[in-house]
Amino acid sequence: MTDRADIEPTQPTGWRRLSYTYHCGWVDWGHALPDGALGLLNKLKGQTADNGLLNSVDVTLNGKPAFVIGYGQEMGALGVRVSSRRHWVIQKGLSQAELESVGLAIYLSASFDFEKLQGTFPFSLVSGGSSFSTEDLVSNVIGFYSAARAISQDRMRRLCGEVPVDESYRIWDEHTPDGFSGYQNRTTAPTLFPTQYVPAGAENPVFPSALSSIKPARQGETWARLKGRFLDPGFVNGRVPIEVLPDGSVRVRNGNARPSRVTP
Amino acid sequence: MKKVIYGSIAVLVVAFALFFALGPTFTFSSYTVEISPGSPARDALETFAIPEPYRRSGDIEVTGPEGTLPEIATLHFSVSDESDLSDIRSHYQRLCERNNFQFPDDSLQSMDPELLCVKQEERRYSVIFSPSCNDSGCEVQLSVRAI
Repeated sequence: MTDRADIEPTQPTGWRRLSYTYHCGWVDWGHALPDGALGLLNKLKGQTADNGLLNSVDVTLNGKPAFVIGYGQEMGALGVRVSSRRHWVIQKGLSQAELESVGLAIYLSASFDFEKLQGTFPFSLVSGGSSFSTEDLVSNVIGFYSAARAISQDRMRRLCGEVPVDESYRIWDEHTPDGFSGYQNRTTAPTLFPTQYVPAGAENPVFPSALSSIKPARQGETWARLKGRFLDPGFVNGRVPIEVLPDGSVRVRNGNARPSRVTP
Repeated sequence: MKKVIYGSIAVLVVAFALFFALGPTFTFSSYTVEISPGSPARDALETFAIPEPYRRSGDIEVTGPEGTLPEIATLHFSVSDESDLSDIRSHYQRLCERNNFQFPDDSLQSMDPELLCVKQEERRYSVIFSPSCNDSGCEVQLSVRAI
C-alpha cells in the first residue's frame, strides 16, 4: 500500500518507491523489484519441483510429463503472515520462450489471487482498501520483465518515462489527493493522468513494447493451477502416478478418479 | 488511519485465537495464515555483521512483505573515509561466502548493480550494498530482501 510520502526519495540512496511515469502511469517500484519473478523463473527453468518429495511425484499434464512447483505471494505484519501459495503443474521440456510465457501467466494468476486476498475480510481491514490499486498490476508486470529480460530499475524508469518528483506530487495532489482507493485497476494496462512532463521523443503515452513482448500462456495447456491448491499428500507420499487435467483437477493415472483436496 | 489500526487489532485477535485453536499455521478461506514472530529478512541481515569499528545508525528497519514487494530489512552506518568502502565491501563478500550466498552472474548484476550476493532456498534472499558519499563522508546502507 503506497502513500504520498512514498514519492519522496529515501535517504541516503535517493531511491523513489512511488513515482508517476509518462507511459506506465503510477509505478510502485517496491512491487516492481524483480526478486519474486526471479525466484519463480528459476524454479521453472530448473524444471523440477522445489522440494525433494514433490520431485518424486509422477505427474502428467495433458498426457505429457510435468513437474510441480510451489509459488504464491504473501503479506505480513506484527507476526502474522498470510500467503496465497499453492501448487502449479507445468509440462516438462518447454522452450525458454514457453517457460517465460508460463511464468508470466502464473505470476499474474498469483498476483490476482493476492489482490483478491487484500480485498477479503478481515485482511481488507489491514490492507486499507489497496486491493487492485491502480499501480499494483502494472508494477508487477514491470518486475516480471525486469527479471525475464535482465533490465535494471534505472532503465525501467527511463523506459516508462519517470517524471520529476515535483510533477509526481502535482499529479497526486491534483488527481488522487485521498490516495488510490478510488482508482481500482483489474488489468495490467496503466491508468494515465494528464502530466505537464513529456519525455524527449515521446508524443503520446504508449505502454513500452519491451514490456508487452511476452504473452501469458493459457491455463490448461502447458500449465495448470490445482483446484485444491495443494497436491494431496497421499499422492506425494505414496508416489501415486497422477494426471492433472486442464481444469486443475487430479486423477490417478490408472483411471480411478480422485479429486485433489486442500491440505492444511 | 483509525480503520487500519482497528482492523489490524481485529486481525491479530482473530489470528491469535486461531493460533491457540489450530496451531501456528492454518488455512483461512483459500489462504494460509502463519503466526510467526520472526522476520526472514532481518534474521538474514543479522548474519552480516558490521565491520569494526563502525556502529549501526538507528534500528534495523523492516518493510513488507506485500505481494511482489519482498520483505526488506535495512541498516545504515557512517564511514568517514571513502577509501574504506572497498575493504567494507570485501568484508561483506567474505560474509556472503561464509553464509553460503552466491555472487551474481553478469545478467543479474546488470539488473541490480548494487546486488552483492543471493541465496535461493524456499525463499529468495538478495543482499544489497549501497554506499552514498558526499563532502562529509559516506553512509552505507545494507539491505536484505527476502521473498
